[in-house]
Amino acid sequence: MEDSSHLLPYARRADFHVGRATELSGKRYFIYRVFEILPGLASWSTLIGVILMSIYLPFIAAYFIIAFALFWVLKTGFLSYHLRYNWKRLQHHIKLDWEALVADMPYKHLQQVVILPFYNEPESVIEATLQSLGNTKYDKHKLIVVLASEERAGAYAEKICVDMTAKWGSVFGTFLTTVHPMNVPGEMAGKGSNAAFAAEAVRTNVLDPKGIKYEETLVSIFDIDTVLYPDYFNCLVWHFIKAEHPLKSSFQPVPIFNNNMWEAPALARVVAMSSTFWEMVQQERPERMATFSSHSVSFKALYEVGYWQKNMVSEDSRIYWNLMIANDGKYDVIPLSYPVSMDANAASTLWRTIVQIYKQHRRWTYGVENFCYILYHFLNNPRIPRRTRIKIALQQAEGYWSLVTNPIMLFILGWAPIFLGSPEFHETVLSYNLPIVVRDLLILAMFGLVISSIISLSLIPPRPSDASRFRYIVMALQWFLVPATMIVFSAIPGLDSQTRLMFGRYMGFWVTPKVRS
Amino acid sequence: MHPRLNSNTPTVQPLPRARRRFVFLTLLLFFVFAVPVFVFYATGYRYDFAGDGAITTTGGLYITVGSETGDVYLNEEPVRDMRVFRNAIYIQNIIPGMQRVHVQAEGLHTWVKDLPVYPYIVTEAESFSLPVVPQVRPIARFQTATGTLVFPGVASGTKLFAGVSTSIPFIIATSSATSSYTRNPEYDFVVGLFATSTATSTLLTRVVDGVTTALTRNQSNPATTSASTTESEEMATTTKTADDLVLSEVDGDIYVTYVGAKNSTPYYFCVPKAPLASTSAMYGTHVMLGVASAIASAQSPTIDAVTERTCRTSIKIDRQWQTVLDFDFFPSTTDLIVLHRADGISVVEVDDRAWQNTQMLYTKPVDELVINNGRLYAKDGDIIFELLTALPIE
Repeated sequence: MEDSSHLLPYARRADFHVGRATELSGKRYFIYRVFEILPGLASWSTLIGVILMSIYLPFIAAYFIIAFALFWVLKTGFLSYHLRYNWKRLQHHIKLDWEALVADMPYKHLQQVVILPFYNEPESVIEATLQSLGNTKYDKHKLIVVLASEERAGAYAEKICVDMTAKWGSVFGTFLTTVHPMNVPGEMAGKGSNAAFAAEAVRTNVLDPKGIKYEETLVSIFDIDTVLYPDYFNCLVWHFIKAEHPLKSSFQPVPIFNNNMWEAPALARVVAMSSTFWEMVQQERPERMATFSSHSVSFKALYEVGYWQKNMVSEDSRIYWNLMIANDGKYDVIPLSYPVSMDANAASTLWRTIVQIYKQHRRWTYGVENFCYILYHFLNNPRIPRRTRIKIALQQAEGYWSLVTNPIMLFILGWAPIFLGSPEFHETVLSYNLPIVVRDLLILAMFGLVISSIISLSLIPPRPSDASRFRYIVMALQWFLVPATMIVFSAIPGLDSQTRLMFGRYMGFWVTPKVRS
Repeated sequence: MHPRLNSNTPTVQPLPRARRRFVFLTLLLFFVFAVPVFVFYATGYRYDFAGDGAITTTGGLYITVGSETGDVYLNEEPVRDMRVFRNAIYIQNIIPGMQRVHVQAEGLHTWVKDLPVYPYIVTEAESFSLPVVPQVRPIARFQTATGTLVFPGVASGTKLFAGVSTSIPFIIATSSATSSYTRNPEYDFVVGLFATSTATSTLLTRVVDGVTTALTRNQSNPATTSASTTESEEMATTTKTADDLVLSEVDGDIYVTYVGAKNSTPYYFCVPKAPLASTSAMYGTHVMLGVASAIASAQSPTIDAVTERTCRTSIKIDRQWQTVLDFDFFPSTTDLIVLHRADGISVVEVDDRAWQNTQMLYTKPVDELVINNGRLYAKDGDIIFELLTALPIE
């Protein structure tokens, strides 16, 4: 029997780390299954509803579509406002001398654990990440670096661990390599189980033997392609010390997917930068934030919930919900507005890039599994204020619903009444004006892309000597791909994920291949 | 800009919630007020800025234009505020009532139509503009080694293709010798077409001369639905069918009859449900009579309950008192009819609202006309040529 005394009371529940309905039984299974069906059902009902309405109630459908297009314009403006503000704040934070800012703070007691889970990524990618760690303006002896490999990656991962230990073992205070065993019952092969294994290894092999306090240890988990900016740890420390509840907070940097921006095709650049922008927008409304990709958190908080979940796909955001629910709603995400660089998803050919992006986004949008988890535990944990539960549930529901339905309704179904409507509708001014009004509104919404274009140009790395200046123009104009990328890499994979969840065809973890020239 | 962004202090706090809430509520308020404005605008309501500031209802016109370079006039005024599609224009903000539309382009016939505009409704019409000077492409029996067409044995001083325009070079030879030329395969092909069309033309001529029609119908509604088996067989030789439209001849007049599903009836067969007097004023007496006949007819219901329209099933084609020798649908459209008349070849629109526009494709009598694979071929004595429906591209 595993010792659970260190866990928060709610985290001791047997179903606290539930990953899917099939792990439950009886009434609980039924409730969880309903929650799994709900997002897909809502999305499909909306899309089919718009089609049916276009056929049988084309006038109502046309009014709805006009209102929706207008809503989209205003939403674009609203989000652009947040994006622009965060961009300013990001630039400001990059320029700050964080080392000087934390100099007078009592932070010398803090330890930094860096967990780098990897599978079979190229050595150059891992090397670049460790190099950036070595370049940070922070006392390297305070860094406990864990290179977390997978047993299933075999000899390749072993060799990487040996080589990296030889090269970087003496640079950091502690350099630890772990091998996450394969085929552990109850675990899904993926980042969550690997990271959890690594965190426990750090506790038993480093923290406990050295008597390092958990509350004085900050854990940063980075995707293996993460390149740190020099002041990351100083920025993190500053926010940790200044935080109102540092042990009840996670710290979220802005992931900028720009490491390989000059090599990636336009499609990959747009999709990658769109993801960055979304995170930037979220940084300005932290009450809606969950952790995403690379993030930091105190070891104590992690230990109190049993680390990252090992039995599901989107462990990066699930850990936030674990913490939030186990702490009865008294848990925050603090936006750092400080960047970490990661790879845009690009492969050797355009087609493979498209496939990879699709699979990656399907994995990301499979984060809808968190929605079921949230609702389930909101029902079971009355200690979370009801108002908080309702607000978060509605926000999450709207988020997953709009992710899937909005692009399809705007760019495809907006024209449905014209094609599917009755002859009576076809001869009206409304029928003729509908595409004109919707098109004009969408063009207006596209002005938001101008802001995106300007901001994206400011976030790309310096131009390599062999890259033409003409690429800048391409990078500015690439944003016209957004309507297509929203449908192909947001709505459709989102619908795919929700449909899989709806039918109980649960997804496994898909590792995004990393390629850099 | 947040005041602390310019200082050396990290701006820890995100966008202030109060400001976010203010922006959100402002946008929400705008949305609440703007949605009805956009919906009413799309429906056809307009605010009369120039007049007394009243809100008026408007309709629209959707005109399919054959020529991409044509100018459009509404009530003699050039239309500037219009949405141009690939082969059509959409004019909105039109006050309800009768509107006269001109579509014209240099070198082409002008298309003119009086069309009624109703509130919230778009009135459709299809314009067409054929060359004023007939355009032909000669098809000679012989050609030179380089492909130039040759008309041998033509008497000196004879002018072929007078009064028409062609951009195809050809040679007129007084000598009848043809040994140095090769035969033009297209000529043989087209001659073959004329040979196979002779039977129809002959029968048609007989019909025009007074052969009893095969159809049983009343004068104003010559529907084909009651034709007997024997009559149908004969009808098959005197009618042309395309896309649920039947083109037939009755007592020297040509009729287009719609035989398809009611909800797919072409717009020009229908008029909004209204008193007959109103229909007469809007569309002309001939339309009113057709509508009255349709309503009175017990053969098939003609009032579309869904769209509140009254639809006729048959429209008479204006032959301008000329004898019609042959007829057919214009290539690639059923909205236009080609009439081989005694005085030449004309193209007439089926749409008879107000009147039917007629444009001459060829202004002199020809012996035969045949339409094949979208091309119109005419035969005048020994001369064969193709009639072109557009000006040559410069």
